[in-house]
Amino acid sequence: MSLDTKVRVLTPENIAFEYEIAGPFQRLVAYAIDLGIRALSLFIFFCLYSLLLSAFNRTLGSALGLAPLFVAWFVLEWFYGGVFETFWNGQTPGKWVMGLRVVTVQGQPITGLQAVLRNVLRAVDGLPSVMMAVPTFLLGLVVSACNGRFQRLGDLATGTMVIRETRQMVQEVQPVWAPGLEEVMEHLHPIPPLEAAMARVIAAYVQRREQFHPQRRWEIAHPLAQALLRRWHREWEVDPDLLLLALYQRHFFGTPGTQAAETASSAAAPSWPVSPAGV
Amino acid sequence: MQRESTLVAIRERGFLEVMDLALQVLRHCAPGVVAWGLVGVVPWALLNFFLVESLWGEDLSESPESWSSLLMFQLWLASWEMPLATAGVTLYLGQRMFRPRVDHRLVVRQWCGSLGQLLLLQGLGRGMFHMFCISLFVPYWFWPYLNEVILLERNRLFGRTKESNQTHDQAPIKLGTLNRAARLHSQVVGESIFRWLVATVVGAVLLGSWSVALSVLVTWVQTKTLSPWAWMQIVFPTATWCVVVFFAVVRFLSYLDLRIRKEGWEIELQLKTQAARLAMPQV
Amino acid sequence: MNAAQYLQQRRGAWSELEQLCAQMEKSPRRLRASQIVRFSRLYRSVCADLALADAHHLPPSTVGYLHQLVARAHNLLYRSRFFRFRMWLREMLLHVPKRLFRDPYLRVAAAVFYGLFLLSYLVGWTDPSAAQTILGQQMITTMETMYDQPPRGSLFEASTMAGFYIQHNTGIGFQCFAAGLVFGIGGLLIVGVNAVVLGLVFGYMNTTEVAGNFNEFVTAHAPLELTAIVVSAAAGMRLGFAMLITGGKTRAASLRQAGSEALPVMMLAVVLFFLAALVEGYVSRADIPYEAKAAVAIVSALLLAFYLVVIGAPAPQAQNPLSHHPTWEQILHRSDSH
Repeated sequence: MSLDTKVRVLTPENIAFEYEIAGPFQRLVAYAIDLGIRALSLFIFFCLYSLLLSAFNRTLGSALGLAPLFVAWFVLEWFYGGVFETFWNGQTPGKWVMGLRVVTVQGQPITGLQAVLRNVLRAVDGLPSVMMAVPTFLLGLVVSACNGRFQRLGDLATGTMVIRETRQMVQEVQPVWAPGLEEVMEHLHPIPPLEAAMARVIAAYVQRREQFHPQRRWEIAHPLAQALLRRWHREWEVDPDLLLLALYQRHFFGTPGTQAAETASSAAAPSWPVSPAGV
Repeated sequence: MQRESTLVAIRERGFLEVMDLALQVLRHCAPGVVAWGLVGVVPWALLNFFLVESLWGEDLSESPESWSSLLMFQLWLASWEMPLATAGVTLYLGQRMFRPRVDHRLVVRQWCGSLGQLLLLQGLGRGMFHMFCISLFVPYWFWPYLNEVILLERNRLFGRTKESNQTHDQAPIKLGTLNRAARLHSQVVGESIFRWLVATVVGAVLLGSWSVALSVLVTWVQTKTLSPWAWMQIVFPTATWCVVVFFAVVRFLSYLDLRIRKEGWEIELQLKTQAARLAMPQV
Repeated sequence: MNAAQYLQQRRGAWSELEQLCAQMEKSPRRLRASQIVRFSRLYRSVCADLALADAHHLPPSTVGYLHQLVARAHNLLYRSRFFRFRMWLREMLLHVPKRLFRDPYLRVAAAVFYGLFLLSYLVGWTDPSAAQTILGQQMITTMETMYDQPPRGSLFEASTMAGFYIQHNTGIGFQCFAAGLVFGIGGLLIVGVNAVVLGLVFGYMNTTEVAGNFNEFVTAHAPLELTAIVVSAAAGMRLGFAMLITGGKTRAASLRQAGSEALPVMMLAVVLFFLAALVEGYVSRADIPYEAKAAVAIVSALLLAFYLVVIGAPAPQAQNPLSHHPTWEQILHRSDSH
């Protein structure tokens, strides 16, 4: 099993899907953004408060003193994250900018209790801290590096994790065309259809091949093409890149695409002909 | 070779993701990385220790300004020695990527084999820039993955650059270290600078956080404040080298990421795996 | 059917689900019932698509898209319960005192705090020079100059100081709570250190000639503030020991349950810190007779005792179902049902 920053979640419908887990470094950036927002809003509050008092009501100012500022500082320090994560479904402004979200380890939205608790417990993840005031986050870093979900202590105590949300457009299966493709596909006729794993790999190649130099395409495609020809017991002088393209086209579409499809491949509407012939 | 089970899942990642992944890699290969990190770092750390010690004896040790210049001096030294000190970690990870059991003698042999190029390019070449402090500020703008190219590709310094005509059965061209590095780093200069910036900021944050955390911990244990000497000679260098080794892991993974994006390395591995499966006798 | 045809057939449903997701993310409450039914039906069909992705030979990029779509819809379908004020009120007024009444951690924390406090009070009182060496001469001088006048201040000062105490003392309480996660004793350590320092100061100050001023200042808010720090340490210990003593559950599950029990207790401590700060700001430094300040202390102590003992004690209504006097619990339940 290879290491990756992904975690599988099983839904009540018994479907497994994957979340990308956000580690300490992505979260550090979000935290820095939130810290900036907190400092800025405290500063703005300070300006507004002093402006308001000096303009309108000096007696109220002398009665309240600096108390509102201290209370605002306190609330921002301890409840900023908890309140945002409760009402924004697991996001703070910083997390929103970075595309992060807090969810439970079952992949479900968090409750207000979890949101507040995990934010209060950040104090212990910040240890060892200088004079109990300036956190270094060494403990949080070590703990989150030691478990597969990058959970800090506050996350472990509340059963939450931070995931990265991705928004993708649906990826069309694009038909391909290259000079000589039809001919190669003719030759493929007696060959049995591909297995699913092989088809996936070839699709991955075809979707990326545009970015590579032809020489590099040859380097990548050559070993598989040789192995396939050997398996089919065929002596066949064929460009390995073209062979994989033909296999892809046959597997996913059944017929050769047209040159028009190749040029209009980025168009939104599916304009290519779809043949009823199954694989 | 069993290609299917690489140490990390091969896919494209952003730089922050790469750093997060480095933590997972550290967790899984902690003994190897720490051991090879120590082997590489200890000689240089000792060298720096004695260099700073010789300066410490003089009147440098009193005023705060000279402390900061001593700190900068240590950082300057460490950033010069970094590629040479972390070569073992890179070689170890290079093997560990594909097989669960690492041949440690092979690491030593490859290290010795690449020593010439390392000293020439990373020691002397970078040292030239380093003398003028250029590479302190821009150490990784140009050819940031030169170390990985030297150690993992193990080409000769100069290769045959003749482009042979394309046929369906051509052999891959033999590239030298310099060609390969130039080719790898071309067209990614902007991204390299961006990654270097992020790495510098994160590295500075980590260095600050770890050195402060270490000194707080030491203070708690010995229940008295640290002496400036202990901070300068023990705590700060320890934190520095920890950051350097961590970033060796990050650089290795970032190099893989670059090759994935530029050369479709993950596709190549997948196709090779399928080819190997086809070559096996069918059950 | 080949993959292209399959995709062609399904993509309408996928984009419809995507649109519904976007709509739900924007305004979750403005969705019609029929849309919600449609949403869950589409969600199930996309789940099925993901499960059958292999059977339909979908390419990896499409599978990646489906993972992302299922995750997004899943997160919306099982959306969280919003914050409910009534629920929290019941938790704070009913469950928390009951939990605290039989809480071993509260007893331990209180014993540690008051034990150490008394001990160091005696040390400071009987041997002022020892207090001087432990606390440091600098702190002693500061304390003495601070109390060489009776504690007075303008309204501006009172408010400012009340705000400062809210920010500072509650922060210490939170740290005490969070530090409990370090094997349960982290918070106890902070409480212990605080108890020793406070005890020494109290003991030492009572040997000096400014003792009157000092006592006048500390009397009014002492019950609230000292209880608050003990309660926050106890809440932290509950968390930390849940990690060590799991009671047959997994460590994570035990920690999670302790978390849902400990946070309301910590919120009680926050309320107490707030009240203490208000008393410390407005009463302790007010120009009123000492008896009034002592009365505030006694009233607040009695209220605390009522909260912890009268509400907290196990209710006897089980034996006496026909009682004419409704219990506290019944009153709250009744108000809940309106």
